[in-house]
Amino acid sequence: MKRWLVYALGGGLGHLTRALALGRAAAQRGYHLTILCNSPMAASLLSDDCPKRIALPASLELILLDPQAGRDDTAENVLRILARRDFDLLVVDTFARGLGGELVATLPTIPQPKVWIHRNVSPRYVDQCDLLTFARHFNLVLVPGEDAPLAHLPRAFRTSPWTVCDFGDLLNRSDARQAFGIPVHDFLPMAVVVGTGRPDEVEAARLAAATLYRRLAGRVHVRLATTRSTGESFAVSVWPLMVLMRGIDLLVGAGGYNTVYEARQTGTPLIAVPQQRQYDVQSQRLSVEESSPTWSAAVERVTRWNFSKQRAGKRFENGTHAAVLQTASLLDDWALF
Amino acid sequence: MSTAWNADGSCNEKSGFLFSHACDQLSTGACSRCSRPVCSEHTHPTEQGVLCTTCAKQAIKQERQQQGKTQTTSRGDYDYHDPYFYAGYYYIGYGDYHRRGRWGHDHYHSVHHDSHDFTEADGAAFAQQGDEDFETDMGES
Repeated sequence: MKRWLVYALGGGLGHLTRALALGRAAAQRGYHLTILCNSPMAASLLSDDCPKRIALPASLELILLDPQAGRDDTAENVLRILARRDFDLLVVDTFARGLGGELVATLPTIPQPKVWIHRNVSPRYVDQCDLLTFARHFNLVLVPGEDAPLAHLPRAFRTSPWTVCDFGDLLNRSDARQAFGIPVHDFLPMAVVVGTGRPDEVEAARLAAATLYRRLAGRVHVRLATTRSTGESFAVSVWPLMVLMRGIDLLVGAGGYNTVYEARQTGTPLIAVPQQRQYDVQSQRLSVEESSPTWSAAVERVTRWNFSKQRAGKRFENGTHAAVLQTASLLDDWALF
Repeated sequence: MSTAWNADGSCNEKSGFLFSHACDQLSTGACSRCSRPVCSEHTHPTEQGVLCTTCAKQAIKQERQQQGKTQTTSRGDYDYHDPYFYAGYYYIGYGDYHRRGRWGHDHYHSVHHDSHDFTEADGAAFAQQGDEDFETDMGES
């Protein structure tokens, strides 16, 4: 059974979620994944306090590096794991050279085939770190559903957006609403604020949810979705939120990859506050209609939102499956030559 | 950690005053510290050997740290007239014209300033555009 090692380092939950999405699709084709991550939120996601609403493959192995470790220590651990060479394929998410540049010397020496997941990143990062030159060390570049600076490379393969859920994983509207504590015969609409990201960003989301909860009481249900309970009555600890998307009439959050594409793929209206990141360009990802400059502006928009609009539920294609097929094809070719 | 340099005969050093970009010159040698292929204009003879601009800057920084200095007062053996060698130390003291006695103080405080002039505040904007310190923060995304 072939094992893929997925380098998914980075803050927040985005890199880990994308890796888990790939892992679920890969497992369906008989591949095993080891995911390497250092997200400070991974521990809360994996804890029993956060109910999992989808099954993760039993073969999935997660190596969680110390989120507090500095660059040198993290790099040392990453290189030690890579040196084992106990994988058949290396997948690197977003940071082709490694989050700390630690893969620069090692990656070209790894004999196994290498795949780079190239989502949109800051063009300054691409330029300053010369990713164009470094990309030649990868045998396949997967572009997961959004344009990216090096998506034109000959080895690039574009797919639909990757999501951790397939269409069939989504709960129906009634069950999803019940998961948020809303009774079956209650038909008030529901807005859900996503509380992920750095602690200050989670706090901003919590304050926005608290304001909306008071302001819209009796008209709209408001919930805060987190991976770690904040103690409020309107907070719900859930992962992945996407499973419950059919029960949500309006999603409010940041502009990270997973929030945006989970909303778009399921036809859930989104109001998002783009967050400043060194690599991710959230303002580019969001449309004018989706984007709000601040949490205050987002709260005002939600307050004026026309909840009587029917949301456009639709069937969607999860790009992870095409990505796995393309990667499997690479492995087959590799075995031949 | 060694680095895989581009061995196509080009200089592997970066150029640019405000915005960093690849040097378009051919390499004439290699840095004795990091082996980076560099052109003659990015080559700096030092006591530690012939260094590329990046290593020469690091050497100065290390030397300064060893000496416990907060400012470079001596330009040592380095050619500060080198137009490619635009490290911060080159300008230390020269931009500090708020304090009386500093170079330019009287001029700065006596002339009319056009509101469109660049000021120190514009430095932040340039830093955001061209001088980000990538690959240092393991909590970024």
